Amino acid sequence: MKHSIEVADLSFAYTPESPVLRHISAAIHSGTVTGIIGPNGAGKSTLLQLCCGLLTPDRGQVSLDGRPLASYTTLERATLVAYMPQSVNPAFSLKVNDVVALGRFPHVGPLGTLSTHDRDVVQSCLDQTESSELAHRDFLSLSGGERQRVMLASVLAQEPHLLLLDEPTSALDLPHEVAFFRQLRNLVQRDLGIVVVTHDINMAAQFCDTIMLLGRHHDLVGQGDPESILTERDLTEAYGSPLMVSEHPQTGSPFVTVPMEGP
Amino acid sequence: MVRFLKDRMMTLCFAGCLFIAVLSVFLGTERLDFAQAWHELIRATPLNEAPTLAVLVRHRIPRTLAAFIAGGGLALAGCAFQALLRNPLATPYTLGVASSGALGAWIAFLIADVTATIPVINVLTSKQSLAFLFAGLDVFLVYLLAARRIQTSPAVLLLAGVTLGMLANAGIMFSRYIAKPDLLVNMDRWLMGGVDVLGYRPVLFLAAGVIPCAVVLLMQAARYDQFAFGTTMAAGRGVNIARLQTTTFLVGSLITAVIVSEVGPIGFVGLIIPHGVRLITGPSHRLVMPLSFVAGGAFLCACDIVARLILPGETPIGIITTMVGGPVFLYLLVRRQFSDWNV
Repeated sequence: MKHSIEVADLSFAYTPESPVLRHISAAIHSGTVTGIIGPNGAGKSTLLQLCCGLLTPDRGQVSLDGRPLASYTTLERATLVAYMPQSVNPAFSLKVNDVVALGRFPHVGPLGTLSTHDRDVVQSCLDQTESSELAHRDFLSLSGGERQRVMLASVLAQEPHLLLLDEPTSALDLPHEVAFFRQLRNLVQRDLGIVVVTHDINMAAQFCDTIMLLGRHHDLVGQGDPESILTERDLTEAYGSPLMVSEHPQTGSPFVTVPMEGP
Repeated sequence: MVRFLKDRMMTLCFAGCLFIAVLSVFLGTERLDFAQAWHELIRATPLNEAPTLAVLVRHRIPRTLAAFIAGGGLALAGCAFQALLRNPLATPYTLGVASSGALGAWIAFLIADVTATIPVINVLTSKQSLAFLFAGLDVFLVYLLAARRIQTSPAVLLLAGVTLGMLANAGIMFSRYIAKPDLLVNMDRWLMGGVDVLGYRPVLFLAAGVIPCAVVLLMQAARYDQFAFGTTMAAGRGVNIARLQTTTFLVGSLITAVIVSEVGPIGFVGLIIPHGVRLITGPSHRLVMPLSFVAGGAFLCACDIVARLILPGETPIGIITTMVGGPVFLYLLVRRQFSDWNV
């Protein structure tokens, strides 16, 4: 079955005088990777939090599989949509295994007792993210790339239909970033839907099926495949400074750089 | 193997804690002849004619129970506050709950002369009622801050709590200043804390207040675990943050108020016990919380033994907990092993 989040005419502000999002309408489907890009302060993270019900819109509606998101209980919602915040820092040291097991919370009872099935899911999530060999390490001792893989495993353990990731690669070097995005591509083949907020336009161009471009005026400049959205006109409009689009030498996908002034 | 050792360790700790509690029944300023007590017991002698058994039943056992329940409740409340605020310093004290409760009970002392004669007001102005009223007021103010936004920094809440605690202490100072000198002796003694209860009424009051609250807090253990990675992550996992905050603040302050009103403000238990327990159990609250309750109870029983035996007279237990707990905690801090907190 296909799953989707639809947002209709969404507006949101933390304080009334400064809107963070204005009249956003868009849709996210399972089986695809959607990239949300846009300048700092455009409201990318806020949109992500609205999509999983952590924030409530001032206007408009978010629906999950055709039903208003607000009509789900928090636990129901957590079994359908998982959310990974931008940077996490645990309050105390935890074993990787236990970190991933935390993701089973919406599936287990109030006492948090894991069944054999739950342990199997934890193991398979570790396998999917190639982190099985980290299982008995202390989370605090992991490198940035390893941490993100383990966090990915822990949100996968919720067995969601849709996975929302807020700048998951912002602390990673280029090879680790590419490896992370490759992993996301593998995951969507299992009919999971992934939404990823990123500052790396080129990574989004290469690895996302759909791109949502948010503008500096907190509006949606466009949503569509990378070729149709990543145009010089739209990007310059969204970021408010000139950007240059060429072609990736290998794939021909859009390649975005900054034009240099003068010699 | 590690798991097995860990389970063993847990069982050993539980057993050790209960042993200390039982020990506390048998130790005291008066040496008791236990063979004598046993004879009195099996012959079913009435308590009036069985002096040894009477000491046990009327003094030692209720005193031990009171110490155990109070210590356990304070440790559990500290554990819950630390988990909720993701801060190793959050305790009934640093949040101002205990001092505010003490101020309430203190005021009850102060006006007892006037109110004792009027039946209804007498109940409303009892130590218990006023302690809960003031502890509740403190928590309400801290909670207002917390509920304003889901992400109010724990540091802000702690600062607010510490400030409210100082205000309450200023209130205590002021009421000391205006109190009659003959009242001051009683009030000061109470402020130092003591579990020297007589009979079972205080024990029943403690049990009725603390045990249901403890059960409610223990039921939240899996939710507190989710807080390890912050409130946003926990909310994404399906934890109802607002409800958990309300439950913890309400129940944590109720526990503290009940204990403070009965045995006085006893410091340090809520801070040191959860830290010590984490070293043994690891971070899972499903292990930390039950063991904290038992260990807190044992710690207060042990401090009470020290208060009765090692120092002359009956030293106030609040002094002992801090004099024992403080150096131990400092030592752990210096060794950088004070817990597995990521600080």
